[in-house]
Amino acid sequence: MKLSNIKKTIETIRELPTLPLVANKINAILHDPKSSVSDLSKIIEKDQSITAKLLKLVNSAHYGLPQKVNNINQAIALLGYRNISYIVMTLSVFDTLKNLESKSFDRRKFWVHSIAVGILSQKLAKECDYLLVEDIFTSGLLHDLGKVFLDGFMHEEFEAIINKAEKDGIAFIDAEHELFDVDHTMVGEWMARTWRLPLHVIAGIKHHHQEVEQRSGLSLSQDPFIDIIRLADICIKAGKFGRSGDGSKYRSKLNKALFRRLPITKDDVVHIIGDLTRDLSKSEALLNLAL
Amino acid sequence: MARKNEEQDERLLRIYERLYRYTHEIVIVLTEEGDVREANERSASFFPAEIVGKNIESLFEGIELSLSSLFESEVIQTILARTRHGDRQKNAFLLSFIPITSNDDKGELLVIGKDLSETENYREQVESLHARVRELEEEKKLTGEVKRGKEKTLALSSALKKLERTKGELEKINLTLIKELELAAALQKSLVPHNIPDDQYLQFAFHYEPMQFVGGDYYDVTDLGDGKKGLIIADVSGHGVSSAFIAAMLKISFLNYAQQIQSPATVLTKLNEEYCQVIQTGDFVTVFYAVIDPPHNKMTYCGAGHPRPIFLHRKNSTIELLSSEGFFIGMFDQAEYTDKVMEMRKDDRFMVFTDGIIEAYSDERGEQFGEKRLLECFRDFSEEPIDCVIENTIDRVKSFMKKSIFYDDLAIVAVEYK
Repeated sequence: MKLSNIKKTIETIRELPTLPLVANKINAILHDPKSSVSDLSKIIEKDQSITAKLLKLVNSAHYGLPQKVNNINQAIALLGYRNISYIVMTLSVFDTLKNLESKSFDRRKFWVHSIAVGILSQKLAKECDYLLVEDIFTSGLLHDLGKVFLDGFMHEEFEAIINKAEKDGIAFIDAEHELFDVDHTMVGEWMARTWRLPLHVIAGIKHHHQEVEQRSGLSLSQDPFIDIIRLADICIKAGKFGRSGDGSKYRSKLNKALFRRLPITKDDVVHIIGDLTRDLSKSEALLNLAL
Repeated sequence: MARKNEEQDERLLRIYERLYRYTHEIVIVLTEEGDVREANERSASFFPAEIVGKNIESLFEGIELSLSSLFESEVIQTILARTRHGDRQKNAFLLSFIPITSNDDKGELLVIGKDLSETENYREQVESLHARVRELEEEKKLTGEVKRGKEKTLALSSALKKLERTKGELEKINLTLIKELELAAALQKSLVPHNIPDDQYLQFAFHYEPMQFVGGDYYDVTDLGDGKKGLIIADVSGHGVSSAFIAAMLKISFLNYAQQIQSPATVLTKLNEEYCQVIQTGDFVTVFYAVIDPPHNKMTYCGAGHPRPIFLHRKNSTIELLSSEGFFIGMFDQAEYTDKVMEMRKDDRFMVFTDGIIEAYSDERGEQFGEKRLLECFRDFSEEPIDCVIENTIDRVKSFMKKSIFYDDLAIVAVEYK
């Protein structure tokens, strides 16, 4: 499949499913210097379904807040403007992706993988003293967005990739590259851009399979947070948390190059990943919102 | 034996006399009824008047014991009592009542009183010292609290000052930002043509309304010679200075390529190659570019992810949505673009716009204006001059939105082969 083919496929889709309007509005007010916290809460409150989901999520063990959150303003006060915007965007993405048909791909396992990457990225980021831990969680969580699109809109191609990866015992991305000239990172990037997701999410999707030398095109392309997401992705695959479409015989390797630009060692990672099963169990609410 | 007893008695008498005369204590002998039979000289220093014959209870206050019972038990009782002196200073005494039974069954009580006033003084002094210590401690505590209070007040007021300063700085930054945004908005407004281009074949009409400080909409008409005109409309995703900046760059690149390259698809390919390198913000640009060639009755166009323009063929009054298949600009550097050619005859017209029009949102209805309503406008006003078409369309969009908060720019360009 050439790029022109995927373009054609995109044209037959005519329009990528759009995110709920609340996501677009939030996007607009995030860029509006005149906007305030009350604008954000007004926009969210107008969407009752998102409001209910948001409150359910922030009151879940995933956020582990010491008090019950009863309204959006309180949620913003406790978790911050930026964080709440990301949560709403994530919930919007979940809602849109839920409507995409899935035939042979286990969505639950896929989201377990994604949430695990999000959590581990966040923990590794803390260990590295990387500041924007909320950005990195969202970015880790949505890094494989393109796979959901391929599954939903290009099912035959997606199945071919899955089968090849399974038959040859190779990674999903390698199977993609053997079969087509477009992969899930490109498709995911297209979705993320079209949906105007934050730059760090676009960067995580675009570069999570690339070495630092191969990364270009975005102002965040060289940012170490991508190294963190790459490392987390490989650790989660090695630890067999959920499934991301790799062949079941494929073993991902934790090579030295992954640690090259990060102030942590393999021992640190082994230590951090020890608690992951417990952390994942706290994110049941998030997982249910994705399904 | 008797002599020995006598000697013994004399000795006791001497001892008693010594005690009676020289002791520092008061020594009183009481009858069984409690009346003073005799008192030593020391007693006189505490009682100004003669006390012999007076009852002990009239001399001391605080004696609450039955004297007769003392004889029965022959127990020495010691009690604390004070001298009764009216309003004079009262002395505290430790009185020991020693019952002495005589042979004639008449008992006497020997009372030895130890003056406690000195001890009392000390006790009082100690007590007052204690009280003072307590006072001092209290004072100290209070001073500490006051000090702490002062410290707190100081810390609070310095925090408040800091807050005020920060607020001031923020306001300043905000003002600077707003100024910069206004500059960017001014820059962006200067990108779009302000005067309707005067053309031999074509009639143009524009409407542009930035709803925020800065948007990323851009349109332009350029003269390509031989009666040909190039019409571009573009929408940079995102908002703010970066979008205005990208739009400004796009104008320069476009005007440059349009003069050199005939094919709209090639122009878009060039723009895409250039902007994949340039745009680092994750933003992208949707573009529709048409080269209108009235002398040859044709229009060549190419779209890149842009909303599809609406074309009216006057001959058979059909309305067509032009295709805009190309990938948006600024992401895939290998994206391919293809030209489409169509006939454009006299009185044919078309309208290009940015997504702000179709995505205009009504809070009341909970939906967007959409392509369908826009098509209706175009059809309904097809007999009106094109500037009226635009005006009426904008009116409809606005009355659809009512007072809803609007989030995107509105840009429309209409062209008619006059």
